[in-house]
Amino acid sequence: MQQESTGATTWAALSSESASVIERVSRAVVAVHGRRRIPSSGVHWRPGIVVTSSEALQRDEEITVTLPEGRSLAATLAGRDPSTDLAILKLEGSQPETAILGLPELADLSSLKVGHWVLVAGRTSEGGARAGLALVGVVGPAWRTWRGGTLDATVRLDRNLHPNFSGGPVIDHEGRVIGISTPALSRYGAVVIPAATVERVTSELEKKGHVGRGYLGIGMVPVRVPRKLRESAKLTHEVGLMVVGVESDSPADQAGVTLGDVLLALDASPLRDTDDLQAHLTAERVGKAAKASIIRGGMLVEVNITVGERPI
Amino acid sequence: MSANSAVELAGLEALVRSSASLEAVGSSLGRAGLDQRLADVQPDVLLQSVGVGELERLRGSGSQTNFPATVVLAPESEFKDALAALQDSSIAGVLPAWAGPREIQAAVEAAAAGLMVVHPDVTEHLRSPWGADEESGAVAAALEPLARTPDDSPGPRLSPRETEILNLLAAGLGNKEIAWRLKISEHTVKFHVTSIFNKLGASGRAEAVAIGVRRGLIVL
Repeated sequence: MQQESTGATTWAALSSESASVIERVSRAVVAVHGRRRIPSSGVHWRPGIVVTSSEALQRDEEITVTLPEGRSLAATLAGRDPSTDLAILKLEGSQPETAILGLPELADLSSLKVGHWVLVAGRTSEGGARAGLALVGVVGPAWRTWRGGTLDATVRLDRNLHPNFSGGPVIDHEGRVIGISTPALSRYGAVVIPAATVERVTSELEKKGHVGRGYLGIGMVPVRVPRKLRESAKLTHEVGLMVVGVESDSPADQAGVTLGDVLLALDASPLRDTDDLQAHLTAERVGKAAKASIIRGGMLVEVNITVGERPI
Repeated sequence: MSANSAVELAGLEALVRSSASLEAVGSSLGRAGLDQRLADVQPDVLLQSVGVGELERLRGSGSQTNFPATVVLAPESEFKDALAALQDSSIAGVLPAWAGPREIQAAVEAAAAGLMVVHPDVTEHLRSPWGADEESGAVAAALEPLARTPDDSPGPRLSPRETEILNLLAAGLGNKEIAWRLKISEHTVKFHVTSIFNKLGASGRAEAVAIGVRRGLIVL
């Protein structure tokens, strides 16, 4: 009897705990009306700023959000970064109206483990809270999305989520926000955009309305460096990136990069694949000189390229 | 529907009207004003009867690249240019001028579905010793590799428009944004995207971008 009642108490405690976490974190969660049919969710990340999934936000205008307690507010799109699937909205509403919105407590991802329980929160079109339960399916290092963006960590949940949850927070067992959930960027199991990435991208979007990316202006094909050439030029690189296209007036063009050049390294980091080059072209490098080690006509040369900004 | 003579146009109109699955939404006599008419009506498919020398004049001028999927009815002299245009413009179907009503209906439906259609009489002409030459042989051969190619073979080349769209896909833009940016219809974007996937042997955007970057098609 003793055992049974302890069991019942634990179960009730778990249930009551998860409800109260949802209740607390939901104070920062809004419904985002930016597409037909099912609305997505968003997190009130900074005062007056809501972060949401860019892909779920299918229009640029006439966006409204529903606050806890059901009130609707107009919101303007202040910036998108499709490469990390984030968009930020500025709330139009006087202070008292937005005052009911809370701010999320952010989690530190270093203690996150595969198999940990997480809660996901969203808001329905009527303004009620929506809750979901999932497991952390995959945890891994920073990764680059196929759209060229960088997520600070790999976090995937064990399942896909109801479309209303897109852009809503993923909450660890301490009640802190790990990141934003999105169905984009992957096919199986919701991807979590880590809080650190949301912080970084939100700052960029607030400042510029878009996220800058480094740009050189070349199209390249990975090639194997012939053994004779490696020996004669005393190289350790086995592969390089051969330039098959140079955009006129691009940073590479201005630095004299030409068709047939084989890039071996950028700032001493070897380039084994086009991924390696993309990893180099971060927003921070825009405007800075990058030292390219190039094989040109059988000889090793070094060319300084001033990294430009991706034209978009 | 578009044609250069009133008789041809009436014939096309009658044909479309007698078809159960097609709905005529507009007609244009002659080339002038066709662009405006298409912009006004926004049809799914343009059924166009072309005259001698017409396609050669259009080719390279880029003037038909913003059209909806187009099925052309062409005289024999235009076959070579029509096939060449298949890869670079909005032409999705090439039929001989003598094609029958059922063939025309099937071609229009296929074009609306984002497919490419070539009447066997058209390619037959290219294979014969009298009709073939180096260039048309290459064009006929180019029709083959719409099937997947292994990753290290270059495969058919992307058109300039397709390369442009591939770079926009790599930036994460969706069909709607690409259409808005390039001032073309979303339908045309989807048509080009399908062609890009076929040519690169990709089953989706992520794969197309991964392949495209490594072929030097995407500028970094």
